[in-house]
Amino acid sequence: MLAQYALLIPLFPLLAFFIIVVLGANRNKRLSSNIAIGALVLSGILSYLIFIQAIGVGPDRVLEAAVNGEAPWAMLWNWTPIGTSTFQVGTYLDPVAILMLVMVTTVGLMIFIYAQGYMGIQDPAHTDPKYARFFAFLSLFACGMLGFVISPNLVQSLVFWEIMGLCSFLLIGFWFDNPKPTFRKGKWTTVGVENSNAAKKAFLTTRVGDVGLFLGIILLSMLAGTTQWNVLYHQEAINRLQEITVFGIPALVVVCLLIFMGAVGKSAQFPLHVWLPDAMAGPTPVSAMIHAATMVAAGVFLIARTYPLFAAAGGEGHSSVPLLVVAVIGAFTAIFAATIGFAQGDIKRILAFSTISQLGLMFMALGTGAWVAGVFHMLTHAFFKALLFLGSGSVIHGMEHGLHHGHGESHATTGAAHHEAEMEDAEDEAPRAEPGLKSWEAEADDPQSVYNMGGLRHRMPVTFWTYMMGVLALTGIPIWAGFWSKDEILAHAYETGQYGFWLAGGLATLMTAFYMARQVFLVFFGQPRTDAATHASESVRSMTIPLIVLAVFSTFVGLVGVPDVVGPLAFGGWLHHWLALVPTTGLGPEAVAEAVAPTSLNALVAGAALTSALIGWALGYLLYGRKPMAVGGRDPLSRIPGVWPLLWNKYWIDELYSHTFIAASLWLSRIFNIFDQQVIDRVVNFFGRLTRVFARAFRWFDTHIVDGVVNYLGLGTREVGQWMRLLQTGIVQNYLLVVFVAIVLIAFLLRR
Amino acid sequence: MLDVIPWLSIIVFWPLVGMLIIMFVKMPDARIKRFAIGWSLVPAILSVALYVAYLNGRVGGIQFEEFVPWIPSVGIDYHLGVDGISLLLIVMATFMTTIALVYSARVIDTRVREYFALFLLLETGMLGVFVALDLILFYVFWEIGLVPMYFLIGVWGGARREYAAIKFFLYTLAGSVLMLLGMIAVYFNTGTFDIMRAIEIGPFKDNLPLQIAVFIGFFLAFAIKVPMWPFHTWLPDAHVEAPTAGSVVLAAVLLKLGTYGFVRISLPMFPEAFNRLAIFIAILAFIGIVYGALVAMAQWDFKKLIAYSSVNHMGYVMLGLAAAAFLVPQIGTASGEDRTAIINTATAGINGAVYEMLAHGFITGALFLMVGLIYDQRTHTRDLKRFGGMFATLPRYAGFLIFFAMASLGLPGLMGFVAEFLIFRGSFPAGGTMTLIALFAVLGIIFTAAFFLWKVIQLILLGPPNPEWSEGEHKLQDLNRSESWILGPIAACTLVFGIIPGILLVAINASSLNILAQATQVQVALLNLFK
Repeated sequence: MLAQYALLIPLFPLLAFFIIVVLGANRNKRLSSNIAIGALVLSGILSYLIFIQAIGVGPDRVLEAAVNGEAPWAMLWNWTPIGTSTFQVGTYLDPVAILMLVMVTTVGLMIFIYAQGYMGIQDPAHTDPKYARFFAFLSLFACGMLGFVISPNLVQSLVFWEIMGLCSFLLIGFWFDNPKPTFRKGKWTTVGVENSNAAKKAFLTTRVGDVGLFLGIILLSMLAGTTQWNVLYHQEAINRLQEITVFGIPALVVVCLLIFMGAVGKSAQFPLHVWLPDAMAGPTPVSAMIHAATMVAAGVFLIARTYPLFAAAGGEGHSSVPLLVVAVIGAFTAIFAATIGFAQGDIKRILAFSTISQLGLMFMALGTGAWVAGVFHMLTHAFFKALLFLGSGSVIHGMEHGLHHGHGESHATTGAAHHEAEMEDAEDEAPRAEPGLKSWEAEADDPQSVYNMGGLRHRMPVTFWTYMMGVLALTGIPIWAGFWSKDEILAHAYETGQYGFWLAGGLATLMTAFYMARQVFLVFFGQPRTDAATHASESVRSMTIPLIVLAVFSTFVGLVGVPDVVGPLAFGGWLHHWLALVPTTGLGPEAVAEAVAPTSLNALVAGAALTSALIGWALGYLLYGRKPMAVGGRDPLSRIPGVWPLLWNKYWIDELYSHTFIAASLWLSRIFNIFDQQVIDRVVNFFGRLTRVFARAFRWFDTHIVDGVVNYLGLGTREVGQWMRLLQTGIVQNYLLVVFVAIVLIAFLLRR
Repeated sequence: MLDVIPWLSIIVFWPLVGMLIIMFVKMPDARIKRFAIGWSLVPAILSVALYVAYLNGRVGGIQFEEFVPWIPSVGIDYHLGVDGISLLLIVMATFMTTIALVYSARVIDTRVREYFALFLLLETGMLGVFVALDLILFYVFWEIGLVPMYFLIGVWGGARREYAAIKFFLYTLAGSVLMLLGMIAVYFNTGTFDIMRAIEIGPFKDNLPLQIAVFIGFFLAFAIKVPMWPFHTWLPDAHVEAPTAGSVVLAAVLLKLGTYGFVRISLPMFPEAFNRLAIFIAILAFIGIVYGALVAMAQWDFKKLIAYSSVNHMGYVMLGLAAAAFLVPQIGTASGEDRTAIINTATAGINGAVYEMLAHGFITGALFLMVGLIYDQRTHTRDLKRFGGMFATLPRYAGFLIFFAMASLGLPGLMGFVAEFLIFRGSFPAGGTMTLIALFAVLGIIFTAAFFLWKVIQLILLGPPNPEWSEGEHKLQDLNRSESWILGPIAACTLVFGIIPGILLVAINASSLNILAQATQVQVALLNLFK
């Protein structure tokens, strides 16, 4: 039984991280990447073996064991006492977690292999100087996701969740030292500073969501006494939770909304989507990692994991408010991000908004009750989005190669080398004047701008064909993976009568097809629009092989979820049988039972989805394909006044945030600092001075009053003495007289 | 056999003996340094051994008690003893003192003899507070710690050292005088200076206004030491002017004397008063959390920034304690499962507060070392505008800095997270106003992340390397092996106690339950609960 060793799966990459960073394997670059890849291969083998073992045992038996906390599918160890209870950690393998393990290790491994070439290991002279560090961070990233997937409770999930946050920070800002000058927001800065800004933005934006998740976990652990899945997945626990209210609101609603905040941040949903497009600053393998295998998928997985809570939040006979929120945010983001995707010039940025949009679809699926469809789409999306990102990296590489070829400079072949070359260039380049670019124009030497590309299908055939597989999958063309998963989301919305969401999904499909068509026509078709594109060349083998593997997956992986009716073509709806029981175990609410019901292929829905995708493609062809953009040409969409600047500037949401939340925080921070020095400290010093004033006053009092009295007394005694001397006459009669008078006086005073 | 050895006295007075040896035995400077480090290792090792022994005894209760009548005519005794909380604070304090001495040996070259002698005296004072179970003894040790720190800042400090030293001294002294008055009041009410006996009797049990008045006396002393907002302004000055090792110990241990006072004295001895003021204290804690983080964000001096981050972190500690105090009466009235839930929440608050004390000791101590390593030994500037790009040029320094910054902003998997989690676990579900305060206090987590990422990590480590430090005659060297060895052990503690908090929480949790039991006066029922 291997499942009990599942803890090793995240530990292998963690070990790789430590070997590279702490034990100093980083001195040897190739050794470092070999260690990282080797560790992930071990994790992958173990994941696949566990997968096979689980198939042998059967998904229902696996699930039952996991939900009841039985080894080896759930391993729990006592960790620390809290109050009168004990907190446990361990591993939790139910069918969906096992599927995720397989996906993450597969996609991750492709990204790792690709990254070797991308970071330039084949050419020692141009290998990225921080090559070893890059693989160390990637390993830690993989550890974060793998650990997150198999966590048996929310607290442990949060630990790995944040490890991913840290890694995204380190990797997005990986090229923090790039000194190439660039002009942003009205002033000159360097690309390195911009990169580190992007990293900071990613960490802080997701942190805002994480704070919600943090509070949600705390509230849940207070209410339920635990956050273990094997407790929460039982009907009694859910029933108890349903009865509790907080400030008059059902507690589960509050808990779910707080948890969803975390997912909104991590999966870049509106309004916390702003970090993901900027995250492009990282090297392309990182983008693939973030957008496909890890990070953003984690948000979806979190909601899939806590789904029983969401489903139960409505209570008997009520629709669940949190699920509705999830669906609305998801649907809105799906369309909102797609529109921004229309008007981006950076090849990776288009993909970034596509990711946000697709994640929106997944949330919409979960929110409308299509649990399996949501998970299914996350899985297929991981493969084709990883493919698209790695493909775009390959394109950028080719462009960079062309750029240097065109310049007649060194034949740099890697992003790293390019980066290095940039660093050299930058030294003698003083910041230039403000560039007079219009919003749709690209800097002439920008290797990521689609406007600088064109006709690359001839120069980079492998990249082109594999990229096309990804595009077909993403745009929802039948056979390719994305069609099946997306169709299922739409079918579920349609069949349950949620027509609004069905239309939103259809609209998003159309838009997706359009912006991808635009991208493909601008990048691969027509004539090269720059020297760089003319001289672009195909990437090295270590980069193209992962592309091919991922292309195969992107084409066929959807078949695992094809409904039964398609028959021989598919695995008989295998995915639904595999995942069928997950959130339903022991749960009553009908919403949950609905969630996993395998949807049969609805001809109307499928036809409508396909039609909208084709309309998108057709529009894209009309605008960008029929008459390819010429050298120095203008993006046809940019002719639309008003709309284009809005989309190009991403609805000015970044600007809105920086002028409100960020500006307010900075302002408060300055005000408080001044207050600290000018008010609080002044008061303290005032008391200090007051003490000194008192001290002086006391000294004066001491010398003049206290001492004065003493001296006065001393003086007085002498004077009295002198005066008394006069009485002392030596004549006894006088004394007797005094005594007599005194006695009479006393007698008089004491009389009754 | 081992029982009769006064282990606590040995630990507490061992540094004092070392101080005498340094003062009266003639040694060259290098020998003094080596001697002091070696000498300070003994209490560090002993306290770890004692912790292991403690776990084998009655966990949660007071162990290793020593009792000798001292001034019998007024009932003052030499009474020592530790529970899990104080013992772990001793472990942390002795460990960080040794680290601080190792660092000092590298940078202190003037008046070496006096410096190391004072440092050892400081250690005795600090440790004494943690072991004292008699109010007067507590007070004596409290004041002993004050004097050497005054001199450490005033003699070996920066440009404005005299101002900072006097401010530190007078401010703390002003607070402790009020505490002394409070102690005398407790004596007149209960007839004893013994902390445990006084708690049993319950001072001013039936006179709430007086209890609150006495509580406030203690509160001011502790709040100044913590420091709570608005009594915090001595802290940035003291930190900025203190020598690096002084800052390390100041942050790691001296601040904990205040919060420890709340745990050991205020909470169990004046539960009613603490409860009545819990919301007020929680609001001050909340202000400390958010305000501290925001003011830290406004700093351009690396060291001052870390100092303000202490205000922020100590705010968390106080939030956890205030939440526990807030829940105390409910423990008495609730029953059944509700009661268990409330006890768990209140215990989480105390556990979190104690864990934050330890975490802050390690992490912020280490951050002050990070400041020292760059300022004392490399750039001689702390101006954040003048750094940049050191992740490329000083990878090892950068690795440690990122590690400790992440630990400080509460990255899960590291010690600070465990503390923050428990504190919010204790305060957020506490109900009523406390829930709202905790809800807003969470903003502090975001601001803390913001200033660490921006001011510390980005400005120092990211961006293109500043040519001032990356080339030419001022080209900086990365941490060497011995410097890494100063930071390595702290990093290891931060990581291990972040991943396996059970090692420490076993003792802390039982002790917190005990303190809660003392506060609620329902010992029997409570103690049975966790058996």
